[in-house]
Amino acid sequence: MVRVVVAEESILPYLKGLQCGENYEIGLIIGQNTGQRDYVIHLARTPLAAPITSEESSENKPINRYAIIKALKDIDEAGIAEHAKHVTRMLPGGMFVLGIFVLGPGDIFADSSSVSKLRSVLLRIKKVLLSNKFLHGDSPCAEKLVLHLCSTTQRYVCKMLNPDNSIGTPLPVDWKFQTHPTKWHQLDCQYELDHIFPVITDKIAQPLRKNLQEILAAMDEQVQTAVCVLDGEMRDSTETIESMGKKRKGKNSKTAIEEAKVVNASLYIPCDIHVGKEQDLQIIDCCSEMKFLGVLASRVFLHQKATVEEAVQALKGDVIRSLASRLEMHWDSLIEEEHGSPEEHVTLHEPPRRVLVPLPHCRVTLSDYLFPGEGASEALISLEELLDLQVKESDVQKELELQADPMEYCTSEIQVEGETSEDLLPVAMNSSTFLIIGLSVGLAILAISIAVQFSGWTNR
Amino acid sequence: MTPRLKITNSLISHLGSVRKTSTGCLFGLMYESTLLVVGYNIELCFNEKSTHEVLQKTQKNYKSRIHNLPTEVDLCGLITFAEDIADPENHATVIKILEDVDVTDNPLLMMYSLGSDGTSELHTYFYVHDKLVETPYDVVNEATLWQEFIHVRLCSRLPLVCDLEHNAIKDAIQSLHKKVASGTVAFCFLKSIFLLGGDVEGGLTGVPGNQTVGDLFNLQLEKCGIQESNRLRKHDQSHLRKSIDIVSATLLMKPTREIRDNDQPRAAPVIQHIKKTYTCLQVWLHVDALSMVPRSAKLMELYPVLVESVCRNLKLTESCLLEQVLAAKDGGPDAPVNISLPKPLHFLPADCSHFLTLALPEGRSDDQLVSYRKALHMEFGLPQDRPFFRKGNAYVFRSEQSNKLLVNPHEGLGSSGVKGGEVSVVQGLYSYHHYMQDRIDDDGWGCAYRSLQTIVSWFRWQGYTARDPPSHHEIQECLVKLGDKPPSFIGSSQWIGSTEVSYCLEAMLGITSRIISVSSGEELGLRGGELAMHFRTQGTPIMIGGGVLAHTILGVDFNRDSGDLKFLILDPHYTGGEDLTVVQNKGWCGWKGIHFWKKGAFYNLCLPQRPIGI
Repeated sequence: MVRVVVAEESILPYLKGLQCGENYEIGLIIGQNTGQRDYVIHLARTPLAAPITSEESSENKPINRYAIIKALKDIDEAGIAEHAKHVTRMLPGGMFVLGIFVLGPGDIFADSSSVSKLRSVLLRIKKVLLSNKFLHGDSPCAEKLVLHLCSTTQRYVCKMLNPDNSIGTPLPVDWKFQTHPTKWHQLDCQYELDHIFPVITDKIAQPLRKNLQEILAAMDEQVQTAVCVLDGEMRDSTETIESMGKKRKGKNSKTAIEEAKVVNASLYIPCDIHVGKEQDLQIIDCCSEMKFLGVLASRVFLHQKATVEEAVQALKGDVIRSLASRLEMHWDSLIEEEHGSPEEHVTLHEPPRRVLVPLPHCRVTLSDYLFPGEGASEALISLEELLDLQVKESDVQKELELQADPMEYCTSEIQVEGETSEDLLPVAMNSSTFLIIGLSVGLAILAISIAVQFSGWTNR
Repeated sequence: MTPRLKITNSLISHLGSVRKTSTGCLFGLMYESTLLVVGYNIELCFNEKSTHEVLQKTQKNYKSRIHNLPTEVDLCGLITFAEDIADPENHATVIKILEDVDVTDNPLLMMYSLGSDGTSELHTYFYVHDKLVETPYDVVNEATLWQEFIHVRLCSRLPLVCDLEHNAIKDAIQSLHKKVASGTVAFCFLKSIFLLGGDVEGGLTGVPGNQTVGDLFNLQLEKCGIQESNRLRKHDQSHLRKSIDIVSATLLMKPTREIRDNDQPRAAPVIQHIKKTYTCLQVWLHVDALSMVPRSAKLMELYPVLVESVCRNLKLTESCLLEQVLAAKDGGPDAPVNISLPKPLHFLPADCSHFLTLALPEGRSDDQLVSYRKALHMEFGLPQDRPFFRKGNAYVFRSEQSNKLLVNPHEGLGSSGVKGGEVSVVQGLYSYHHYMQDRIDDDGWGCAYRSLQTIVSWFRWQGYTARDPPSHHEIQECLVKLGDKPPSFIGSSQWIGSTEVSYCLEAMLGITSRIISVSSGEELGLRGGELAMHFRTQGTPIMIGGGVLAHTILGVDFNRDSGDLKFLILDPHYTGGEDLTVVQNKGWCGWKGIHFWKKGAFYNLCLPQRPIGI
């Protein structure tokens, strides 16, 4: 059976609208895979590997954001792979970078050197996504897509390539633009973080990033073992989301138009997964303690025929991907670690929070992350930059997660500490004022650091 | 309406062990408008306090003892032991406490009179509308009890991370407690049946809502393999306390919140990084909790029962941890912190008709816990000459028996046929060791080794030792080490006899044995009284060797007047599989007459002596 790719109709005009003349234009295919079928929701042009000065110039001449690629061999593999990583951070669980699209003259599948270049681009993407384990970014299908739109004939052809198979030839894929949009079922879940991670004294010099990665690994493992309850019921994993709840409605539902569903999901984590993994009781000398608090809002979208199993995988992927994305962005944004403060004190780390942005042509939302103090307009910048999407500020859904109030955590800490709070109090206050000063002073720095973050990766 | 009243026969027969004025709590279950009383404890009064004072202490303490009992077994009333049960001064206090018993609207008062002439009387009263109403009771025998009830056993781990400090531990467990009680847990049976809690059928999924605990048990039997279940069905032993029916459950924690329409969104994740130098206690708390429910109970009604069982377990674990922390503190600030994992173990002492769950520190030896056990023996009116709460006494559930050896295969045998005889048999449990087990072909030479293994298993089951029965090789090594045998003995297929068995028991377990020698099989017929005495006072299996054969004697049926005598024999020469039907029907375990023994053979009997102590 030939693999079928179903793309939203509105994508074709986007593709044709990209002007490149004799040059090549390259970007990412974004969507959902299920067995021998893919649902493509969006194409995102890969922005230019910009020169350092682009920070100023890009605002005046946005057109320069994209590279002029004269030949396939000039494609910047590293740049595309980084793009894939940043885009993946913004995708809900279950959505992946499925492959690449290329716009340009001729037949890119015709000669073996082009094919081998395409394969190495795909391989680079795969490697980068796999190395960021907690993004759960590598799509489940081994074969990645390559869509080519010939700039002279305006004809498109899609093939698939397994990047791990260095001698395989591109195989045909049936790419269709469909007039009836795919119905996307929506799954919502709110994951409450309430974890304490002690940091042992031996790891006092370990950077925050490393600590957080270890914690991510532990949480990832936990979430992967979870069982999922949809709309209050444990479902058979082969059941489709579409069929959920039908039995109750009886025969009436047959005539009713099938609506895309909104499903509430809960996760339950078995309590016996740690049996035998480590000592059941440990007494550890610690230098600090990390408390994870707050609620992570998760929202994933599943194609119309998706099974419960697919939904659950998407959801678990989303929780960890979203947590990993914001933690990565957080440690990337830290200018320096506050080392060498041996005395007791409390720091509140506020990773950016999740906001959702709907795609213009379907209900699927993509994520962006806003640091404290940032507004919707900041989200628009990265959306345009990374996803080539123009969205209205009012479309940004900011209310899913609230910005944490630092004072709340400082006072709660004092209560928790009981008698010892007296010496902790001033320190806690200091650190919170530090935070507030840090926030205001840091806004400028943040603006720069975000710019560095979102466009700076292309420097590498 | 006052409930019907049932009392287990073991409770009633056990009342006689209390010989002085005392008072205690009654434990029972309410089901189908019946109160079933399964146990009691006695308030310890070392100083001669007045009954009044003791009663007040009872009132203070009764609530914490509940945590040691299976869920659904609750405090249901009071029991008093007095010479004059109508003492009006105590009456008022009793009533005041009864009013406080919140489990049932009709608390029970049991009054046991200690007649000075050895006669005793039991009166039972329900406290109804501010009055004590004498109520008749039915007696339930233990076999019926184990058949009517199933124990749901919940095993899991819960994470605890906090400062190694008294209050911090207390707070952390308290917050775990809250989580469990606030509906953020679910329970799972057989990996596929979930109980999520909630209003709609208790959130039961995976089976129809009308399924009972009994149905679940049958399902569990089916899943554990058809062969196994056939074997069990053919030989249903659920009425025996060694094979009480258990349904296993596991725990799940829900980290997600329920999404409600008019919910305020919550703050996004943050990380509070607290730099401080401290000692952290990181534990995977063992949850191992029992609930005692009627077979007919609906699964969908189990959610609150199981939540309660986790909470009771957490309480036990908490006090076990806190006691250790306090003890460490007493050792001075520089004393090494030595905290050991609390392990919940279930005990079913011979005279009790309910389980007692104790959380014992894993790293503490039985010897270090003597005083703790002593208090328990006194509280539950258990004899002080034998252990009931050593770690080795913990009840071994069918599913955890490491080897699938038959346990007490003599149970369920018919009568011996001795008219007017008195049956005296081994006390407690033993495993049946015989030829060809453990992949060792000892057919023709290993019978005494196997008999020794059976004896060691008895000491293991009764909690006297933690060691498993020795292999043939270990037995031979032991005898060489003792100088009884030359080194060439190791690895040989040479027989051993009763004296060698006694040497090994002494060397391996510190158990002394009495050796009886008889010059012929006939002479054994004259030893009925002596053997009966052994089983009554020592209760250990006897190894007997004579000629070329060794056997294990498990008991005698002896008529003192007529001299009629039969021996309950366990034959180690059996070479088949662990099939109770074969073992019983073919006589590998059964009653034998005097002609079982050879007339001309000389016999040595090894009678292991049970150590006195707890």
